[in-house]
Amino acid sequence: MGFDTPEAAPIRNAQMCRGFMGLPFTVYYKNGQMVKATTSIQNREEIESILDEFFGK
Amino acid sequence: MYEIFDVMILGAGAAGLTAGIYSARAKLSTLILNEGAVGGQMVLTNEIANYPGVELTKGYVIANTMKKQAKDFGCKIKTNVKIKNYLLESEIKEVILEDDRIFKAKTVILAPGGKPRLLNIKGEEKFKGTGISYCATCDGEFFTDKEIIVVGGGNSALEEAVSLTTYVKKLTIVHQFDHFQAFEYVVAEVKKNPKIDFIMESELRGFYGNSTLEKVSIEHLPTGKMSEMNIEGVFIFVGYTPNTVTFASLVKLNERNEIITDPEMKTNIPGVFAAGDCIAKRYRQVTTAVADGTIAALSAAEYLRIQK
Repeated sequence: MGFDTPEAAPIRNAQMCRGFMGLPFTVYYKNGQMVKATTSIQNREEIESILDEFFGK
Repeated sequence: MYEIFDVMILGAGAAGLTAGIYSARAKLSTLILNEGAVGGQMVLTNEIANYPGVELTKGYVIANTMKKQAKDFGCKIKTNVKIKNYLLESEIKEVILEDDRIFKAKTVILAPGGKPRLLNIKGEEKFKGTGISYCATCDGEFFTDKEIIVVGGGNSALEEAVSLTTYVKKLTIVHQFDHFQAFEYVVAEVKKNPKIDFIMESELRGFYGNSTLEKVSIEHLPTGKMSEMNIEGVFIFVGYTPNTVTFASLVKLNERNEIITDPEMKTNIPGVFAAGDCIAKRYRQVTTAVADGTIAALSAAEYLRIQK
């Protein structure tokens, strides 16, 4: 999805993404709710840690 | 029984994908293993305007086209794997994944790429993406009408600084030496830009703020005098670090941890080649990575012919 397209607005304007100034924005949804958002490139360990925390091991 | 590939490529950036295209096109059984997503640093580049034969395009478009070309020729690509061990010395090379899967090949092409070098100072990790960036193309627009710092004095730093003046209100270049390492014409362009100021012989020592970056501390190196500057953004361009840590005990590296190759992309280990941003060379461009990948694949093919 292009970051400047209207479809990206829910992510670009999300409360959790306020203050983000580095692409990509990555958001994690669980049961329709945004539970975590990160900015800039995350490494594998950072991503695994988020998945473990919010989605179980 | 394990399948033994003719060519196993570690890395799926410009060099690795090109090696995959050439190797698979030559009817060699080819596998690409990649620890992240396909495309490497190409996908961080918004627009590519100087790739010969291709008019203005996006980095991810070129990456996806390369991936499709490689797959169409029969190259297998496995992404997001985590490699535990490498056995490269023997005639049949092995790569063992963390989930204990083993992949074997007669030749290996190392193409792990590189990543931006960090300053490794206080607050850098905290403000990555909330004020600190390593990619002007990706993030420049977020700093529209803000005051920012660019760290570095080479061609990349100065060229990116000029490009960032499209967005920012004011830009200060902080550099550790009393002169720049960039080409003279690049330095001249920076010096005539009214939006750019300079702080020479100085280094950043820390990043501070709450949820976003608000302030940096700067040391003037000759005097040791510390000062602070309120700032909303810092772009860091102090070179690249090759992703070669895991190969340090396997192939010969130079003092910058770059893999040493000959002009045919051969490493010190027979049957092991290297290509792209991980090798010792001066210029790092998509085009040079593509050239390296081509040469590495052709050299691997020749090695296999001789071994028969």
